[in-house]
Formats: sequence, structure tokens, C-alpha cells
Amino acid sequence: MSVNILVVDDEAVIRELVAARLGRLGYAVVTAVSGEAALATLAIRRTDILITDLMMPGMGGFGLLKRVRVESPLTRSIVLTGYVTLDNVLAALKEGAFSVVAKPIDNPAPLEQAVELAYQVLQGWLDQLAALGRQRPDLSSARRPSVGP
Amino acid sequence: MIHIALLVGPVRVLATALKAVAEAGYSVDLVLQAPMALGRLTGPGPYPCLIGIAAGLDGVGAAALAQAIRRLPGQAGTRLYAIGGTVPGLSPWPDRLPEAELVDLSALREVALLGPARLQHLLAVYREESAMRLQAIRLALAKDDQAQAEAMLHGWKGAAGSLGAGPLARLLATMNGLVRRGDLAATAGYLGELEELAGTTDQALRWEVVQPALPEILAGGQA
Repeated sequence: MSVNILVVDDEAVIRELVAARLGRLGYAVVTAVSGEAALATLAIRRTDILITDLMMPGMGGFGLLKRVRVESPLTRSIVLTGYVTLDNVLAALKEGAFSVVAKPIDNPAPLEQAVELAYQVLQGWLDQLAALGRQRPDLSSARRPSVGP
Repeated sequence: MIHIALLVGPVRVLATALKAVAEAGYSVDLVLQAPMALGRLTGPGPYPCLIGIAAGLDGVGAAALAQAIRRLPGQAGTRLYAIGGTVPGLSPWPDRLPEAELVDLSALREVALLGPARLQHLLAVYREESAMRLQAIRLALAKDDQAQAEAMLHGWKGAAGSLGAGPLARLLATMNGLVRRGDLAATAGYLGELEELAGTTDQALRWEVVQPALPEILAGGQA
């Protein structure tokens, strides 16, 4: 199964650079120019990992994180920002971000590691869910309690 | 080694100049005799971001040539230096050129690994967006639009840094910090420097400049 990634940034160079680098590693990457466009993509395409800027016109990264948490709870979100302040990092984590990576991305290693880690965590959850599904008793074949005389 | 220098002048001076440029970490794209230089520069690009003009130039004269080059379209960001003597209005060719660090080749190498076509495309996108952002920043500062100025500076800073343009990214970060504090007047004071540095960075990031250096970039070479 391919890993679907959505990259959201209003800056074209960042958007395309991230998409190209991750695409080269074998991830299935699509991009969006805004939070609103990202939500539209999330509605029609399974997204395993979201990578978003914080400062964008319109909705912005924090607003997007909030919506993703509700509308696509299994999606792991990574924040990619030039404003790596304690306030921003804590706020992003509070809104459900899995990790925060600093711009610029002249060194791709931190982002690639964050993506790999996010995927491992997601895969761990899915494995656990699958295991739980296998353990669940088949209620349809359970004997119904006898009723009546 | 990076290929972004052009030298103009008679052969007797250029031999010394070539040695100095090589020692500073550059190779030379073009070596031109003075009468040919203006014709080359008025033609289609690419233009180099550094031009050395030999002192004691025959014919047109070094100072006149420098003035003519500066009047050419697209040459505002080009830095002119005097080689082999003094030329009124020009700095002497420095021992160590500051432009050698305009672009960090190790960062560009990461992008080059994506393939030449992708690199060329990204450089084109960067140059198109940076020109748009410079205009938008000017306009936003003129209209006291703090949010727009911050958004433009912030986005440009990330793109420049990601392509290894460290000095430009640092200048944009300085301006961004001033805008965030609401000091738009101080930010506007940097516009001239921004335009000049953006121009030289833009020229250093031209595909026609980067492409010849690709083998060295991919080999991990440093300017």
C-alpha cells in the first residue's frame, strides 16, 4: 500500500521541493496551496501524512490542523515552518501536530525522518487495529439467549 | 568552483585577472575584448553577476564601459570591479569575493539530486516568485500593510534558504523581524539592499549559470 502525503504551502518552491524529494523516496505526494484546498483534497483522497506550513493566507496552518484532527483523525500532521518558536511548537502540538520541522529545507534529512517516523507510528496503529479486529468475537454466530418458556 | 564571472579587457591584463579569479574560487564564463563586451551584454542573457573590467582599457575606456553596462536592462544587480589598476567609480577586484557564498552549493546539491529538469524548473519558479514578491513587498510597505509584507518576506525567506541562498535569506529574516515588530519604516530602509542582493542571487541561480557547474555541485564541490 502506498503512503499518501499531502503537502500544503503557499510558497511554490517549498511545495514543489518537498513533493519532489518525498516523491523520489517512493511516497505518493500531492500538493495544495492553502488550508482550504487541503481540506478539499482530504475529503476525496486518503491522506496518511499531512505536511503543512503555519503562515498561509486564509485558514492558516493552525486552523488546518484543527480541522484535520476532526475530519481525518488517522492522518498524521507534520508542521513545516520558518517560525520555530516555543509558542508555535507548543500550539502546533496542542492542535494535533505529530512533529514540527524547521524551514528552510536546505537539508532534507529532518523532514524525511519526521515523515518516516510518522508513517511508522501510523502503521503501528493500523496493525493494532487489525489485530483487535481479528480478536473480536463473531457476534453474528453467537447463540442467542433463549427467551420464553 | 562556480562559473559566474565574466572578464572584460585586453589580454595582457586578463592573464593576471584570470589567476586572481581562480584563486578566489571562480572559473570564468567569458573573456571578452572590450569592443565585443557591450554587444554580448546587450544580447539575450544570461548575464553574469560579476564583471571585472580591466583598468587602462583601450578604446571606449573602463569607466565609460562600466557606466554603459550599468545602464543596460537587467544589470542593476551586477557588481563591477576594476582589474589591474584603479577605475573611477569601481572597487578593486577583491582577493576573496563575497559572492562566492551567495549560494551554498551543498544545499543546491540536494536539489540537483532530484534531476536536472526538476532543478531547472525549481530555479525558474523561484525567480518568477521572487520578482513578484519584491514588488509585493514594496507595495505592502508603501501601503503600511504589515500582514502582507510579513507574509511575502516570510515566504521568500523559506524559498531562498531552501535553495541555499543564505545571505538573501538572512536579509529577509532581518526585514521580517522588523515587520513583525511593526517597524515598517526601518524595513523599508532595507529595500535597496534587498533589491541588489536579490538581483545578484537571482543571477547566480540562473539555470544557465548553474548548469555548467552541475558536475561539481553533484560531486559535493564548494565555492
